[in-house]
Amino acid sequence: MLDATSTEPIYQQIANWLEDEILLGHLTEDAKVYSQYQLAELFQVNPATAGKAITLLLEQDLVYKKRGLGTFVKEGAQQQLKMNRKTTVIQSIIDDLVEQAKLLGLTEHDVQQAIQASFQKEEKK
Amino acid sequence: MIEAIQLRKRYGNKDALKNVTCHIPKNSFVGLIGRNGSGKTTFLKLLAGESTPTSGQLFVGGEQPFDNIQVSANTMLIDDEFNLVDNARLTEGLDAMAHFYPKFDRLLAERLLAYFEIPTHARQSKLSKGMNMTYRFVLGLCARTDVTYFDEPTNGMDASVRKDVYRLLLKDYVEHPRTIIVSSHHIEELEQLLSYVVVLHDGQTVYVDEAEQLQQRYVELIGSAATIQSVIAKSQVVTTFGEAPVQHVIVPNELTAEERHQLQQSNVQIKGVGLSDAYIYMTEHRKGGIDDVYNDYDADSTL
Repeated sequence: MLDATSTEPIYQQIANWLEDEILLGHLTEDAKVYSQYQLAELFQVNPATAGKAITLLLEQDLVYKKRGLGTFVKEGAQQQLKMNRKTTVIQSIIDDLVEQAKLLGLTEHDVQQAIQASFQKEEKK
Repeated sequence: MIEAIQLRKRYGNKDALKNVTCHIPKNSFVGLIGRNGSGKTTFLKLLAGESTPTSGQLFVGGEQPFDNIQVSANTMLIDDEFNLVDNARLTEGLDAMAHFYPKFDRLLAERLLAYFEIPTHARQSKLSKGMNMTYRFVLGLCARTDVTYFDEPTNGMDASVRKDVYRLLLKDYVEHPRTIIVSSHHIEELEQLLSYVVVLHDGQTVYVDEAEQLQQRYVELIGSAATIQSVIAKSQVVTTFGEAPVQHVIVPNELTAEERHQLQQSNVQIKGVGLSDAYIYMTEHRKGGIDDVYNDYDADSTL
């Protein structure tokens, strides 16, 4: 599951996975998030590493702690993630796309046409 | 929890350990990493109180380990010589463990031996090397001592057993937190379980830190040698391999966004360097790499 060749630290990769779970609705509002021990077992990593992943989400205000009970998904977390992803992830995909296009000598118009075609492909399904 | 200060250990006219200095926090899962002959076994034997340092200081839980009942009762060193009772049946070994180690989980030990299909009525001397290592590992794990040392525990084990051993180690460490040190010269399978690393080279500690720090220390650049050279200063290069025009270059993980961009624009791949490779690059001492041996050979060929 984890990418050994990634330049991202393991705890970051686990945090990304947790964010995806929230985005996809696998973890809903006020649902209990996996504990660091469950994550350690799931990803076969040291629990301290897994704990850091949860800390990342706490720092971003996506989850909250209930003392003695565990960590839970915050209200509006999914929305917040969608907003974040839109700006950072989509933007970086667009930047990569444009860079690739330039490498191949495509124009802005070429790229827009390709994007349009891709959207239409989805609608036909 | 464990404090080593300028440890030196001399055997005959050789220093097996020259200068080992480290502080290991309580309940860490530690990888003791180093090449063959770097001093790992010697260090573990000192930690377990099996011998005394030639000079320097060593404390385990605030106590010096040698000849110390308090430390012995709470310490376990599992290596390929570990035997509580000579030439005994395995069940007698289990009895001995239960007798000497109050926290020994006999039920778990029996269940694990059954799982690994190790016949407990057999005599230890009749077991294959792999089964013996597994048996020793099970004993060491189930002893649940505050400090447990495993010296190359998976030598001789086949791949599926090794996988189970690592899963087991992690499970039991989570359920019953304690300080665990595993020594290995071969750590890919283990690296994700570690919270701490101590890297030994030639009898000295060359790196001591959280595992994640070593895991993040280097990146590998793969691509056009010309591009890489134009972006990266020569002083930054840890090591290189492969032949121009495409090369693999290992550098510290400190690339600026600008440097990343320049490299990626010219199709240079930037890959993470795992812990197991990081320690190799860190302790590289040979001049050139294996590729050079081949290349030089071809150049000198008289055919």
